[in-house]
Amino acid sequence: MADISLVPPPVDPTGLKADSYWSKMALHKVKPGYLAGAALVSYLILGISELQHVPIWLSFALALVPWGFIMLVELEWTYKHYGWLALFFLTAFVQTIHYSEHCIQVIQIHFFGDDPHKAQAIFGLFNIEWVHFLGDSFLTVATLVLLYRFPRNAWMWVATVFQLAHQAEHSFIIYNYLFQHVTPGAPGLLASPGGFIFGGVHLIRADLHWIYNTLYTVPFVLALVTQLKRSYDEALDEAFPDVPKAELVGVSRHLETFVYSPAETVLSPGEDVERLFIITEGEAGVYGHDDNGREVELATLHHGQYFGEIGLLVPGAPHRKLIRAKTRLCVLAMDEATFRHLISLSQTTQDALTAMAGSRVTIPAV
Amino acid sequence: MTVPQSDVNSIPAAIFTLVTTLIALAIMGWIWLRTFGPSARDKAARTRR
Repeated sequence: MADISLVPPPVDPTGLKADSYWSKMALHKVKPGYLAGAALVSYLILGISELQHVPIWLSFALALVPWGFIMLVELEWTYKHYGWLALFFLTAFVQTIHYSEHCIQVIQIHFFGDDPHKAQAIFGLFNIEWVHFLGDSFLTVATLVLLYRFPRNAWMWVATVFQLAHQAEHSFIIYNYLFQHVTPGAPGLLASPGGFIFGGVHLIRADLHWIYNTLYTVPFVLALVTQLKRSYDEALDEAFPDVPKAELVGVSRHLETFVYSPAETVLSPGEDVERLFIITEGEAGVYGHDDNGREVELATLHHGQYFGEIGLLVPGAPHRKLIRAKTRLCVLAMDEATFRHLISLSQTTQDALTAMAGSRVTIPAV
Repeated sequence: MTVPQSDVNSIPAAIFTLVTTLIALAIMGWIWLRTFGPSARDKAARTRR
């Protein structure tokens, strides 16, 4: 993979309002109303559970269910558009719950003076070595997969080192628990008292594992933010397969997303819109008229295909065909300056665009 | 019946931990090599040419 170029392409000051990095974390499939509904349902579950004296772990598990569904739906969307970034989000979701448990446990011990053996946070019922080991192993595998997919993200390397240290603790503990029948909650390698290495480092297990989690979570969050800045919609890859990925990262910082409803017109004949539209979701129909003046569908454009290039390649050429959304349609719009920069990067791309435009309109000889 | 960690021989657990950690470190090393190693640099140079 080539080095990531941090030099942005030239920008047309009258161009588009580029999408923010954070828009990748916004809701795309779930409507905001459902979010409010999920919050209300969770609140009701917690309230009713309290009145019915339901165990705290069960009431929180039930309250998390609506959020789990929202997460799954959004993860599917993220995977379709940004590939492995979805695993980043899933790992962040799991680690948020996991780290919250550790934080609550440390607060119970140090702020409320609870006995460390009785400080069980919310899901204390699952405070068994198997759950710790499997949960931590999931994080280790996910972290290694993310490192494999995003090896140029320096924060991933930092996060992986601390995750492996944490995993080593749980590997040691689970082995002793399973084969030597050691009491659950054992100190493991470094916790005190009785840690395997030097008798421990004067930290009880709850504190030590909170530190492990903090040392993992901080670089993981930084890695996630870094990756948000470097990820782009995979439709760009399909549209411009010959452009280096590092350049697509730069280009993606100048694109704006537009969403159209089914049957909504995107471009009308005669419009002088100097933008390239790349389809990221849904289908668009290209319409013209037959000899009798009836509207006919000439083509259907899908994910990774684009339109509007004629207005950019041929100065002053108005758009010739009607483009209308056939389904809910999401497009990335690119301004002229970014488009010029893009085609300057790859002769193959320039040839492909010219050929595509030539097939759609007769380009006047220059 | 369970026993405290101090009452058992923890050497097998230490060996298990060492082996699994070395496997994970080897995976990290392999990722490093395929990303930053000599063959990755050669490939990048060929792409630039």
